[in-house]
Amino acid sequence: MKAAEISRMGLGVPAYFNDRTIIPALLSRGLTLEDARDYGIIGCVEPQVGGKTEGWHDAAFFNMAKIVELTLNNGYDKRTGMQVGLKTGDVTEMKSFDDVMAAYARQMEYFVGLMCHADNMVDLAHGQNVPLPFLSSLVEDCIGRGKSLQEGGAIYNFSGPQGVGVANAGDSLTAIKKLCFDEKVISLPELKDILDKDFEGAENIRQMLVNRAPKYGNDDDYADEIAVESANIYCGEVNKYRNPRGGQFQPGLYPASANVPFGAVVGATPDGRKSGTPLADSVSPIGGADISGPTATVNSVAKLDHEVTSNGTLLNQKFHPNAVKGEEGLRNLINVTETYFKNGGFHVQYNVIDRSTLLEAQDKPEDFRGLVVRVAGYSAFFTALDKSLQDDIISRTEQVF
Amino acid sequence: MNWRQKVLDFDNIGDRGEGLKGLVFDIQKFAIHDGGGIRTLVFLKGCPLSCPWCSNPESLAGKPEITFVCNNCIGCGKCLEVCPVDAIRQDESTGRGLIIDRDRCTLCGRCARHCYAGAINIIGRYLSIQELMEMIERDRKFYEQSNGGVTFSGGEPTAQPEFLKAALKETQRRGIHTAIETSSFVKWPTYASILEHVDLVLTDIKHMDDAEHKRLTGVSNMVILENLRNIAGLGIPVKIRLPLIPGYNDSRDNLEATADFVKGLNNVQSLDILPYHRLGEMKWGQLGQKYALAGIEALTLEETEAHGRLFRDRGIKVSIGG
Repeated sequence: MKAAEISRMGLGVPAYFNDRTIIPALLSRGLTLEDARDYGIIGCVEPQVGGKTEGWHDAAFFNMAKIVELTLNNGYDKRTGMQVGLKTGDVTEMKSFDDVMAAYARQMEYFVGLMCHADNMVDLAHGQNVPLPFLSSLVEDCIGRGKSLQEGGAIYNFSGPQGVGVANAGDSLTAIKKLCFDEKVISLPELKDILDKDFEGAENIRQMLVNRAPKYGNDDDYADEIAVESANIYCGEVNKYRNPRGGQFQPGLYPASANVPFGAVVGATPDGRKSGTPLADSVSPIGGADISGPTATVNSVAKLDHEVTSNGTLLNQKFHPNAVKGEEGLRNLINVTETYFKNGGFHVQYNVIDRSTLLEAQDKPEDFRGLVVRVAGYSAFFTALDKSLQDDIISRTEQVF
Repeated sequence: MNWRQKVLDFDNIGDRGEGLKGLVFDIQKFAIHDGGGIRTLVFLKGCPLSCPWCSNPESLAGKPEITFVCNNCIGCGKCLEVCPVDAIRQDESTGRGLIIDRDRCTLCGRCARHCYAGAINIIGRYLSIQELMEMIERDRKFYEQSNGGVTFSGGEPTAQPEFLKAALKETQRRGIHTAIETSSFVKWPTYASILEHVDLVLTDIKHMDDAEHKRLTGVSNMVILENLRNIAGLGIPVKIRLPLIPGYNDSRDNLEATADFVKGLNNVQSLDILPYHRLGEMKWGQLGQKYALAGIEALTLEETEAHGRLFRDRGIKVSIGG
């Protein structure tokens, strides 16, 4: 109740972590039960046992949306003009959605391999050139083994690279499945052509991609299953690798703030995202795509495998102040958190929508399509209201505090 | 698929088809002001009353309707092209938006299907009990965690009595708390058979004076008040909802009469004051209709509180905003 009160202040703290997911996740990585129960959080959302671990939790950030782009371009990167990936087939050769997913999986295999090998080179270089003796003296069992942390002196050794843009990868693949293969309203080469032009002269098609394909974050199995699959492919590849310290790679799904610079290097994507714009934050749905409210969002996010992502996942959830008003409101917050955790979520933190958010929504309605006006017996989205009514709500939002 | 996307899908009215179906115009998850806990709110379409302040005017007609949301229109002109009966034309006066000839429109849905931007929508979709239950079940864990459930609202839910009864019965059978949000304007035998499957009733009292009630809503309040007394007799918990509309029903006389009536009922959990808001205003325009309350200002928080005190002073538990 006290924690919920602080969440309600809209500061984005505290962060809530789910023991029921995290402890089994750590056990599966070889921690003892005693150690797993003693985890703490390092960095943003990464669980580890203090004094026994060299987790290298931010070993890398991995751009999942770029993989979709490269998949559609046969491994060719338009931005640099280079063949950076494998030739996994031209879009004209992809006759089914399975072909697309197979190409995505092969690109993923290739690039995760590159990343992990690069990580290991850096890891070796750390050990050879920049061991940290003082830090090593504080972590078991560096002294016993006579090795620095960077050489594998710790009891638990991990490398944790983060996948960024799960929602963009998932929703892009979903749009391809739904519109190119199920409904056949646009062919894959036609779609690629429109993406190459960054939707220039094809706003109508962009709207179709946004509105006519299901989106991750709405408790819709069609979209969620593909998002889960696109994440599982990443996690499965990361799981294959070991580091020179004798430990395992473990995937995470959170971006710090990498979703913005990562978006800058990704061209237009089939989820309707324009070239160069940010990717979705963490495991959250694409901003504006989560139009079914917080219960549907957390149901969707909980479908991801939060145990395999033992390096952490991060969910930011927004609430309208009206939804968290009074004691009843605090209970809403607690109940959403509890249910998310019972469904297997890893971490969640809350923001309360304030005046500035609503002003932003007036400016960029596209990113806030999911913002619901919560008044008894009434049904409407904020962005569908006209300007004077929006102003009215903005002024009333302030009254709550 | 989720509800909203289903509405926006290629087949957007749904199949009227065989079997028992209800006409639903919205399903809102995480409803938190309509009956306790985290709830799913099912809005049934069609209402026998015609309150000019209605904030969901798309709920009134008992048939699917076409709406135009100007904000969403990207001006692609596709709807003009595909309409088989030329019922849509550009709004020359504003240069922005469309005028839909609703008499000519056959609700074939072709324009909505091609309106990828979601500016033209068909409101109302026929759902079977099974389709509805699939959506309700999605948030079961939230109901259980929060002592929430499902609330059937409208429109007027009791205007589709067979569907409502079946939906309530099935929801209850699945162990989920049920509520209805109603005007209570329905014949008692029908109402009684519905109430068999209801755990909580949220019911409006819009005006205590019969003539005034008739003038405002188009129907008499006799049935309504009689029904409320009957429900008290059955002992089903009730929350009274008072939509407080400045200049329409906020006179001291009316509020006192309301308080006296409510005091006479022994099953009232609380009286929820729902202060007038203008949020429904633009929806009237989207339906091509005029909003009768244009220009009326919402009550200030102080005014609303003062009205709340009138009830509290008479020993009635009041909540503002439901």
